[in-house]
Amino acid sequence: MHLKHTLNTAIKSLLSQKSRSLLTVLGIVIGVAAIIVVMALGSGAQKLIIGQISNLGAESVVVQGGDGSLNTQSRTQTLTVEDYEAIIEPGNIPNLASASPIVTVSELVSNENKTYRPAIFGSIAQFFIESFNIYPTEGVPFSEEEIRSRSKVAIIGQEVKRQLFDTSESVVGRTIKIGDQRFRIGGVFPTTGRIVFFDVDELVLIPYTTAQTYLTGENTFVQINLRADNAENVEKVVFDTTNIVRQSRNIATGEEDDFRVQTQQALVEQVGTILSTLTAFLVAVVAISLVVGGVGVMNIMLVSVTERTKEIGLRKALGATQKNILTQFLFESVILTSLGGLVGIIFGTIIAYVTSIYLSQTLVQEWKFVFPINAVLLGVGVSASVGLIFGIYPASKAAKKNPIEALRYE
Amino acid sequence: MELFEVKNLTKKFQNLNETQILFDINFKIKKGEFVSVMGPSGSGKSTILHILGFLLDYTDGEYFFKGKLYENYNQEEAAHVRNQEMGFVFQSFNLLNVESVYENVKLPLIYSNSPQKDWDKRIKQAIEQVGLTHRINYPVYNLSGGEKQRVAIARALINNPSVIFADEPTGNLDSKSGQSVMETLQKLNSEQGHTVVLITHETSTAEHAERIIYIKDGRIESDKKVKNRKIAKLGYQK
Repeated sequence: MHLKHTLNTAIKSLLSQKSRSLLTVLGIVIGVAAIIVVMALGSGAQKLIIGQISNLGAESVVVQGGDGSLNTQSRTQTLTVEDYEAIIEPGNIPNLASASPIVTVSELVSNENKTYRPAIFGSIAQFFIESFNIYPTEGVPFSEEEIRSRSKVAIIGQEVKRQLFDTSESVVGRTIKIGDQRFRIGGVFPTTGRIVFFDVDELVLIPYTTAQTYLTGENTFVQINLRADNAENVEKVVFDTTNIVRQSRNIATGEEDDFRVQTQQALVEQVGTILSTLTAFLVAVVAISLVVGGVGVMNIMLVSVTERTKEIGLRKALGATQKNILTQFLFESVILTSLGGLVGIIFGTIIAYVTSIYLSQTLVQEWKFVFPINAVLLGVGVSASVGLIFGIYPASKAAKKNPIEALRYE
Repeated sequence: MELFEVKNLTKKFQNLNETQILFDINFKIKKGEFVSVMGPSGSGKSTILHILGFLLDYTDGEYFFKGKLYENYNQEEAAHVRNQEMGFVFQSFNLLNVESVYENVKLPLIYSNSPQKDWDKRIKQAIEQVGLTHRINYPVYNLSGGEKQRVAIARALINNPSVIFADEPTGNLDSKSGQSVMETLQKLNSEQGHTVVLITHETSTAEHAERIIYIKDGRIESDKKVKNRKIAKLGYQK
């Protein structure tokens, strides 16, 4: 049979039942649209987070205590001042350019009767500012001297300012309480949103020495950020740091490290893997809707085969082979689901685009719409496959019909 | 040369009980013959046509088409024979109602291997042969019963088959339309040499053939030449 005529017959048949075809294909449209949305937003999130981690620079190396969980706030603080001092001891790590420890503090902040629970980090302001490229728009970052003297000075995010002061005027020089300690506001970060693993707007940054002395009461860090003098020397820094910290923590030869030293590249890969896995899981969940859509297509194709029993008998009497009939009905189901897939791709792309704009305006400015070309290919492939898989049973049922019984069918 | 030869043919249907429809049928039909298979309703005449037309398997006996045993045709070959060697005209027309006359006549060509460049000419010729050129683009549902049956005849002719099977072709038509259909079948037989096998329960229709095989209760009662053969002459009602 000529393929062009099979195609024409299939299209005519679908057009003769427009409403039914549209309703049949709705499940596929929704399924494919959902896949596009999930994959587009997943790719957007991945691009954003990996971009932010990449901003740390290829020279960046991170020493983490405990199991190396990505969540800075929930990680155990096991790195000590001794570890930090061993790292910065001149000559210990020849290619080290700079280092900054991070202490996390879990306390409420308050101003008069207003309280708020921000993310409180103790660190070195300069290093923090350079790593994440955020400079206070009000005031100045606290200095080396203020770190050494354990000054009670803080740089706060916009949300913290709003919650505690509710004013657009400068709050530099005013005071807040962290726990029961009074801190002077030395600076305010600009509105930034989430970067990597924390929200700058909900951040309070204080000297790490102050955090340890007045708030945690322990000489431990959750993380120490390092910077190699050159991107090419990153692996050397990782090697030297591992050795130095092992010595500092008295880890015997043969025993495993109780800390992790990671490069920016490793972090990018780790986050990339986590986000890809998460996206794949969500796509798998969403794909269930395609199966449901496929069953709908099969159901309607079975109805169509029954309705057209006489036509099938006639075609066979006029010389159609089983293969001809099978091909004709498979064409119908594949055309139906492929069109559904295309419409789904268009809808999904529009929804993902609008959502990306919304996210960039409300949550993270840097959120960019990523056109998920792989999702489009997946959408087309999957929808056509659904038509093929769920069309086979009705089509083979049609193909096997006995011509004379089919002709007699009323 | 025999186009059809059936020997000791039987057909049983397996429903709740086994029902035997045909008993020990024997006959031969030569190329170019016009034969009526006649009998009362339920006698098994349509079953014979379906077996001859490769639409139904028989239970026992032998059936040779052009000297080759039916059982030796595989499914693809059987479909090819239906497409190239046989044309079917049914009592209930069996047309695709929403399609035009042109598209209905084209249908057997779709399943043939004939070159597409000749299709248009052949379709128009077949439609002209049955006098429906003025209705060529009409949807079939707009035609009268007689016109519909002539579309079915044009469709049966399109691949220039050896045989035309007509199963009660005048059964749903008024007498004038019936005459016109019979005239067409007689012309196709006498002028173009098509073998025609006509199934009917009416003696007056059967007598348009040159030979009548009379079936009763699944058995051949008689197989005789028609003495005073009727010639249908009415012309097409355009």
